[in-house]
Amino acid sequence: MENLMIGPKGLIKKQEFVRIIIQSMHALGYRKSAVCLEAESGILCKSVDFESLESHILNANWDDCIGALNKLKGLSDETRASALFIVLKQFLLECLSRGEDALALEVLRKQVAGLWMGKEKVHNLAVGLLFLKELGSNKIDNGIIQEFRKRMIIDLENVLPPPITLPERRLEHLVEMAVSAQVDNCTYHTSDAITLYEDHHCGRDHFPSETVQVLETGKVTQKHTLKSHQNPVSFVAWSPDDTMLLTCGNMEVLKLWDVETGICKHTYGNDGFIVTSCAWFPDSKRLVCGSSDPEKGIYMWDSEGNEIKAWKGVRMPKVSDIAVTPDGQHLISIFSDKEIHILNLQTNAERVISEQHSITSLSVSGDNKFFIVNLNSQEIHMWDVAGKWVKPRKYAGHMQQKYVIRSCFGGLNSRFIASGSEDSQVYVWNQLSSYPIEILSGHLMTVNCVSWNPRRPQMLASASDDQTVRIWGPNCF
Amino acid sequence: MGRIFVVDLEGRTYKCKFCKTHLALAGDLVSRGFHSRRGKAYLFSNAVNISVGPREDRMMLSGMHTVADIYCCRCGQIVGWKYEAAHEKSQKYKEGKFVLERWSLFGGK
Repeated sequence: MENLMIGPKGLIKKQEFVRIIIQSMHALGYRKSAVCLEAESGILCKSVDFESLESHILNANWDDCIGALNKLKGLSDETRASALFIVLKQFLLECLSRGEDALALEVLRKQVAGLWMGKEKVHNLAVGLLFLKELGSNKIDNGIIQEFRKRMIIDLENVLPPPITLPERRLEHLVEMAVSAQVDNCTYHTSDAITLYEDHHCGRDHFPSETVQVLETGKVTQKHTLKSHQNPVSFVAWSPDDTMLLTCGNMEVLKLWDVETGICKHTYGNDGFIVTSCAWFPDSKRLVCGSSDPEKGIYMWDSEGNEIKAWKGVRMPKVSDIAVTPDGQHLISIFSDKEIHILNLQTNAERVISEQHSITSLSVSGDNKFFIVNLNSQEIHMWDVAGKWVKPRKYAGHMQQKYVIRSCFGGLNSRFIASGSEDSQVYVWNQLSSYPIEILSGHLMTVNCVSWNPRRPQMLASASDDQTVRIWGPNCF
Repeated sequence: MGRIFVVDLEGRTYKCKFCKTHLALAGDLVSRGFHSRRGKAYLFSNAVNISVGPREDRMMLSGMHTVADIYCCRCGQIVGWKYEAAHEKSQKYKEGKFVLERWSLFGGK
């Protein structure tokens, strides 16, 4: 009976399987069914050892209880000590309630101290008991004692290891593990719908793989034409509240536009101020930009045009790209093309990551946890904002040698990474794989930039030197 | 046209005479004694913001070498060549290094 294995691979022991089913029945509240199953299978949810412990406790046979605990096999010394501590604690409590102070003191001194539980715990116990004494020993009646005993049994259950006791809700835990593993392995993950009746698998037909729209000048109704920059516009950023647009000229000033009216609200910087990149804070009131002239540094402004803060000075290197995490906690900037600086805005703690090759662009994930950098060596490196990773995750396959190619996160839970490429294709990776899961063809020239729709996980847009913007979606659109 | 990625060097740099893109650090200068058809040239251990052309075998003053012409990545002007392989042992030290022609350079400041 003990060694009977079930399951198509013969990995599951029948006795263990039935036992956790009985446990989950109890947890779900089906006590009659649980007892019935115990009777039918002959397998008990509570092990024999634990049953005997329980009965000793409920009948206050403390010596038997302690003896049984000492005889249990498979316990580490630490666990045994913890269990004994719990039992003795209850024993002392009951002693005091009966007024047997001397006995309690003796037990405390000899047995509890001998358990090596650590001075603090023993002292806390002593203090707790004295406190109880002050409340008056007649306050602790039989009902409360029984309550404490039951609680104690639960504590013991948590301390003792399997197979004497089972970890709480074991079956639920195992099922959740299996489902999470299925979701993690889902390459084209586009929906969070999970059912136990089928293995979770998102098909490729729901993943963006085809051009849905091609936007050329004249075909999309232009709401406004924002004219004011002297140089080509190299970077735009929507404010998180959708009302304003920031634009950077290529080595030029920064301009703030109102989206409804098309009027330029502010120009940041005078003639000769060169801005390399900019980013919004989540409150849509503050923005940062990196500048390389006249004074290299990072400048923070508010949407009314006032300068809030500036990191500048002789030692500031050139800032080539900058980003703010969506929760506004961290400011990430690229210094001197190869260094990534992560600044925690609350604590002012700074972290530096040095890359071997030049970084061309930076992008942060929607869940604030990660960011990716495109490198000159035709790789995309992903790092974590918190700083626990020693090495980055690497993605390759696209082409990048001469131009600034931008990439972005996208999809449910920022699961995917998309990047432009000099071979006119859009490359998409699943975070967990180094090689692209999808390569989108359609553009005629270098794809400079991609942007995944943050609200619609099945839609992304790409911009190319062929003067068009393409919208990509699944082929069942 | 895509935005060309350009690296900026800190310190004394030699720049492209036509578009002022940084090409090499004065600190990376190895030798001033080279010559090209257009005049003097300098040997550098490293150069940035250049694109490399196809390899070809060329007979130079110092012997047969495998070289590749290099161009400024921003304006496309030819600025020199890179030594890919040297055929004689005494010339091996040049491998992987860049020669920038004086007439295409601006700087040292």
